[in-house]
Amino acid sequence: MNKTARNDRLLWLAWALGITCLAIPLSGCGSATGSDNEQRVRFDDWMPGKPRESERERPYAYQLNAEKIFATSCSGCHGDDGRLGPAPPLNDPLFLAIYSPDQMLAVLAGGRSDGLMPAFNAGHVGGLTEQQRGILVKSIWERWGGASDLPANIPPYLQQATGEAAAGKVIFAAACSRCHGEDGKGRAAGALNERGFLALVSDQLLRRIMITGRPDLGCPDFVQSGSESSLKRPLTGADIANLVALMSAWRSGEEKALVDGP
Amino acid sequence: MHVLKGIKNVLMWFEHRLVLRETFWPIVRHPVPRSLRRKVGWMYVLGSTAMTLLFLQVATGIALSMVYVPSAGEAYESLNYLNFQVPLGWLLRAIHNWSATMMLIVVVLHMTQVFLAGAYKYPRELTWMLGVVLFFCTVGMAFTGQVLRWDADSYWGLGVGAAMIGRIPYIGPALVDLMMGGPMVGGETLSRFFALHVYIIPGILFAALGAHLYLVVRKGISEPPEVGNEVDPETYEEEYEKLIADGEGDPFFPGPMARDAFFIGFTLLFVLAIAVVFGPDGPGLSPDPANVAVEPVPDWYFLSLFAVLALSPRSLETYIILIGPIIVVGVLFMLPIFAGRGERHPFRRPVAVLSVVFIFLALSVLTWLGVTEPWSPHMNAWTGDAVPVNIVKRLSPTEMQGAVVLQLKACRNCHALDGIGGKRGPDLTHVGSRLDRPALVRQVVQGGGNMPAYGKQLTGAQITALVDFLHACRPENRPPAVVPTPGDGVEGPGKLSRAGP
Repeated sequence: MNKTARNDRLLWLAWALGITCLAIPLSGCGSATGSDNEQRVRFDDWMPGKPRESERERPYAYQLNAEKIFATSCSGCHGDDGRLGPAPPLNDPLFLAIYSPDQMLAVLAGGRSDGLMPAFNAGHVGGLTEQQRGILVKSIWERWGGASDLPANIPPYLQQATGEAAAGKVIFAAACSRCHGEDGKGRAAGALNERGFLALVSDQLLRRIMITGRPDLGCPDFVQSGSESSLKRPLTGADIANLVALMSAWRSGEEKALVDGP
Repeated sequence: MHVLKGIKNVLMWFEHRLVLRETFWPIVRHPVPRSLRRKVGWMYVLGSTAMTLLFLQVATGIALSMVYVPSAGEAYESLNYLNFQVPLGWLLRAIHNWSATMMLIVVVLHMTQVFLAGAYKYPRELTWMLGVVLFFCTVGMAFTGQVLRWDADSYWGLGVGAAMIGRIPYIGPALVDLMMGGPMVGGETLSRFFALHVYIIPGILFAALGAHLYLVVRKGISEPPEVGNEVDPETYEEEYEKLIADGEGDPFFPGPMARDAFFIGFTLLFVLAIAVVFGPDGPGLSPDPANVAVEPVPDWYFLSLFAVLALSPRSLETYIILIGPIIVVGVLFMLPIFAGRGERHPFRRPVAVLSVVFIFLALSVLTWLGVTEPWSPHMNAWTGDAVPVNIVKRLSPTEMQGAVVLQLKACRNCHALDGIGGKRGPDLTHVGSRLDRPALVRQVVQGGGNMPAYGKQLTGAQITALVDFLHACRPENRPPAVVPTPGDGVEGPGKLSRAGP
């Protein structure tokens, strides 16, 4: 084959390829049939570039995948897997056993006025719609709730009766001071009797942590704190109410000291 | 045989009246230097490839225009209709998008090749200038095409563009009015950009392309440069005539043209392949003026420009916006006037080669910065990016609350922890080893160094907890920072001021 003939063949091949490329888009010119909600042809499904209706970019309010909502709106404070964040873990079966989806929905919608948890309603930047909140809360119990080996006699989430600070002091010395120091002034696990801490946490959060501990960080729950101390029994709801009263007294003492001066 | 003869008769009837063969045969057979037979001849395929991609753009563009609705209310939905319902509509959009990308790349490569080979020198100065017009038309098509996508990026990006143009003294507002069809992005804006993209710029483009091609054929393809062979307007044409004289030159068809055709075919297949694999670009979020949680990003070819504007000091912005384009256009246009003779081979033109290297490096770095946008807050970091576990594990209860405050006040949108989060402010992972408590309190409360003051947005306890947390942010076993504060040290500036009257 001489050179010119080969060039000619290459030329025709190139033209054929070029015309094919140009003709392909025209195959989209067929008449429009089928319903508006479905893709009309399927033969191109194997092509990786074909966009899927489900992957269409939409505002965050359309995001209904619970795990993605959690990763976008919650994991900043509660941790990637609902644990090991600076805020209390949600991936905590003991907590989910004493807490209810309705309570969580109310906190999500309104935030906590006495704590740092913000409201996640649609009126806020990065907020969630009611539907998203519902999906999120449901999935939290589905993913992390329903543990079967929970301890008996778990103190209720909400406090039943007011506690006594003096009684709380005794229990603190027995159950808490080995990690948090005498009068909560700090040891291995850090101080609790500090203005920065007490002013930012609600009594409810204190109560919750006393019941559930922070299993992700090695802070014991009500069973361990009590049983491993000189009390030799799990903490009761009343013990915890007394402890909360003690810390509440520290908080008002701190505030009083601030006003009166040292 | 009768049939063939009949066809031939019909063709000849037309030929007799149109005289096409007589007109075009000499054009496709125009002689080119024989040295193009060497491998260097492959450098000459880029121009025709760019032109073919332009034709592909026209073909796919016409097909798109049959479905696309150039109205502010319907454009976005018509693109989704193309993506999800029109059979292969997505592929059409993908080819149009990737072919545009490829066209811009090929045009830039073509310009670079012509520049490095000195092919813009005498007598092809005008060919180069028309090429510059074609380049800016291509960029204009890319920009207006991006606007026609009419998603949130396009909508907000246009607002930024309008603000830039509005800065031009005296005529700025009038220009914005002309471009947008009003003082802001509105219903008429899209129609204007549609007209630009479909009628006005293509019109200029094809006129310039016709003249460019005319000159390419009339003045001939430049011979590959040789070291020491200088361009002298007195003698160049005579020497070139010798190169393409009968028996010396090659006719463009079929030899060199086949090479063009091969490369074009390959490029078209490549465009088709990436269109099939990567699909169309967007549309992104809908262009809803109420949805402000959008970080508008231009298409990749404008990212370098985006980076320049984002990184330039405010005092220089106006000059960069107003004078920069004049300099760039002026340099490109006047290049053959200032450097239209002399050496063509890159080995003898170090300034030219280094300029190309510098420009490509600068564009790459700026594009990379445009992709990573370190200047832009990372809007979802405060709720989305977790505090690194290794930091959480060593925090005291108060510091833990400080970490929550840090997330809650969206500090992470600008500051990273362990590299995750915004890049606008410094990474806070080890801030406790750089600043002591008083310095941290001052920074949080009063701001400074481009950071807003947060004193009024935080309670005393929140500041305490936050500073405790920041103070704890340092490598294990590293003591906290000790920053001499005024008045504490013997030689601090406070001492001097106290010594004053």
